[in-house]
Amino acid sequence: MEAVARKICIIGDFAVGKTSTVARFVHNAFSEKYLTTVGVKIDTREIDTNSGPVKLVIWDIAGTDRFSAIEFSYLRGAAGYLVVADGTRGHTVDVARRLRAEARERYGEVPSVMLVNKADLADEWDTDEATFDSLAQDHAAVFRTSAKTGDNVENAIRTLAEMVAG
Amino acid sequence: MSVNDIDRLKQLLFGNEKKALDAITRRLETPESRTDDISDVLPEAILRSHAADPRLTRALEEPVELCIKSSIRRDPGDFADALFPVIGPAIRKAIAEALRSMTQSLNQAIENSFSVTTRFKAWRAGVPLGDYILQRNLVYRVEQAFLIKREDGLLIEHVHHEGALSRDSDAVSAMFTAIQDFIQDSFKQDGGESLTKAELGELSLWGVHGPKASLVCVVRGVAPAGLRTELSEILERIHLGYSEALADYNGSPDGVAGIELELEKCLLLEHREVDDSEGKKKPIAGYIMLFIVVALLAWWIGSSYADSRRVAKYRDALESTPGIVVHDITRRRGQVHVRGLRDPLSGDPVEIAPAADIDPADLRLDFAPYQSLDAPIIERRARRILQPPRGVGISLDGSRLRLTGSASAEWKQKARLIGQAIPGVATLDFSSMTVDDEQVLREAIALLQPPSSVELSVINGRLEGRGSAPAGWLRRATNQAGTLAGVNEVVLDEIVMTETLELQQLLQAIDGTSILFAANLQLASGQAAELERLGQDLLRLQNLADGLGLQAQIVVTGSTDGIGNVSGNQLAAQGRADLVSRALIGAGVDPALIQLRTSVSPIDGRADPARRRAIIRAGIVRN
Repeated sequence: MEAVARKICIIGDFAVGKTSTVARFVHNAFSEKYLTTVGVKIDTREIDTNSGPVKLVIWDIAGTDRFSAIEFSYLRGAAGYLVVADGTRGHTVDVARRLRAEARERYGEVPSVMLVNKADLADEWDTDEATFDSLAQDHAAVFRTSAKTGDNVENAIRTLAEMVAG
Repeated sequence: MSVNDIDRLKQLLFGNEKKALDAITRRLETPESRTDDISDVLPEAILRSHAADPRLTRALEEPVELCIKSSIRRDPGDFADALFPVIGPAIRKAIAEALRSMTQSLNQAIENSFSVTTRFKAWRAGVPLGDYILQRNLVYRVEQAFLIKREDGLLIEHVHHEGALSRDSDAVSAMFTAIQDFIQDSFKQDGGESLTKAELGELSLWGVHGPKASLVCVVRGVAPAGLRTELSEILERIHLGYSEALADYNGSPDGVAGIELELEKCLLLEHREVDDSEGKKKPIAGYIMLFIVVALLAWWIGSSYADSRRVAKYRDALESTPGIVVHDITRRRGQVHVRGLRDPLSGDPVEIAPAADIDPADLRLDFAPYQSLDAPIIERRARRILQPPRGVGISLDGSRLRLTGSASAEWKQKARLIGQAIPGVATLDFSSMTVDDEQVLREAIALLQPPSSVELSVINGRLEGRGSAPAGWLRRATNQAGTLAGVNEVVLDEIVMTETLELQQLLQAIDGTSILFAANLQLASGQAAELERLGQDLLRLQNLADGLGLQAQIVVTGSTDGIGNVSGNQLAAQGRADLVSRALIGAGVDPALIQLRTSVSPIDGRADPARRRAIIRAGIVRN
């Protein structure tokens, strides 16, 4: 059974670990230099879901704290978002929240999963539970992930895949 | 019969009709049922009405037009999408038509330079020689074709030749979309254009774009420009046949049923080297042929360039010629066609041609006449209209026509009248122009025809006269001289009227004339003739005075000598005055002009024949 293709976008502030978080879980079709040139890099990942196999075409959008016109065009037609923040830098959560809101305002409601990164440095986090609660209201699921250990990344991707596969 | 009986009777007699009537009434009073009724018959009604009477079409024209305009204003995209499969072929047809003539020229040039064999092959293939040669030299193959959903970059379908290198096609599709968005955003703010071609070595990406999907092909080799047309046609067919499926595509691995077949047609677009053996057998001949082609092309381009320079030079020469406006100048079939405007007074376009190395025989001129306002043309026009005499200069200062030199007053007056009407001339300046006095004098003599006793002269427009002339001529001359062109002052006061001279001479001759008497009232010897002559002179005097607006006065005084007595002498003096007076009246003199006097000498006894007379005094008074 062949997989259904779905466009997924990874969004988040600068240096929150978007690329390195998913790097080991996807098929790297293109070099990371595209991120600094074109501002986006395409990866793919095929996952078996309850609805059948789905091929995620993942648009890894270069870090930003506010979407420009070109980044909005990259978001067009996305079936889901992986929203990434850095747990050790609380303002990146705010940026993630704002980017999510901007995307919603432009393209309407699209399923999203929140990844709060650097779970391996939990002692240095300045993100409290209240923040997580509020994030949970904006996203289908919120995960504490680690790019270093790979914790929860697979779960996050699978969760989103399940949502967009139907 | 009670009321109830009547009702029952009604029910029995008209029950069914009443039910039918109520049903009809309900139907008419219910908007929904009326709408249903009308919707049932409306299509057929429109068909019948349209077939029988064009009024329905006319009635619907304006509302339908307004609906379309409103719909386009609200969302032009829907209309653009609907027209996409139609507009592409129409535009290509128009462009192909425009290029056809250019291709024909190229064909003509090439056809003169290839071997009979090549020409035969082209004829056998049923294509123009130029196309045949082009096809032989272009080798390419469409290796992969991606059909990509425009909205999200998802790959709808991907086909490729076996062995063609293909990475993750979904990622390639998405990355192509991302790069296109990136280029659009970077260089084209409105996003109306899309990436159509990218080249890398022997590979190139050809993109054609529709409203819902883009077709991107990987081409190896050198493809002709016509490939884009073929790709566009494939994409248009896909849009035409699968428009809704494209819009609804959601990433299904099965793509859109049927599209793969259409897409595979892209892979059929290729051209292989034909007749390789021929090329291998005769490489030298091929090189010679190529050299000849290049040389002929170089010659053709060179001669075309030189010719275009000559035409451009001729155009410059024409445009710098006053009175000529060039709209269009082209070289067609060896002839130079010129269209424009030309003032009849401008230089001859044919005479200009040799200076630009254009053969006058090659010229085809189509000039519409017009009146130029170029200064040299206005000057020529002024000379043609005014025809200035020798010595008169004409020059233009802006819109002021300046005239210099000397000319007759008549010409000057004519120039003043018609000069204003010359196109391009607003005012005339005669301030530097002098009038020819001699010419004016000749015109004055011709007009006034003065008697020989009159001498006329003209100095700076002042007409003067001297000498004597009849009063009638003087009066006429005074009236007419004012009408002479170039005469600004008339002085004829110094011309003496000949009638005045004669009057003076007559007065001198008449005044003091005596008519002598022998005794009493008997005229002395010879005085009768004298009296008759006197009568004629006085009559002449009277007439001259009349002609000059004067009146003659005549006093006849009868007198006596010193013999006789006073009373007798008084009677004699009176009688002599009467006798002379009657003689004058008899000669025609007006009696009213004659006054009678008497002068009786003292009685001294001296006889004096000289005092026995009537003396005539004549004078002139104004009326």
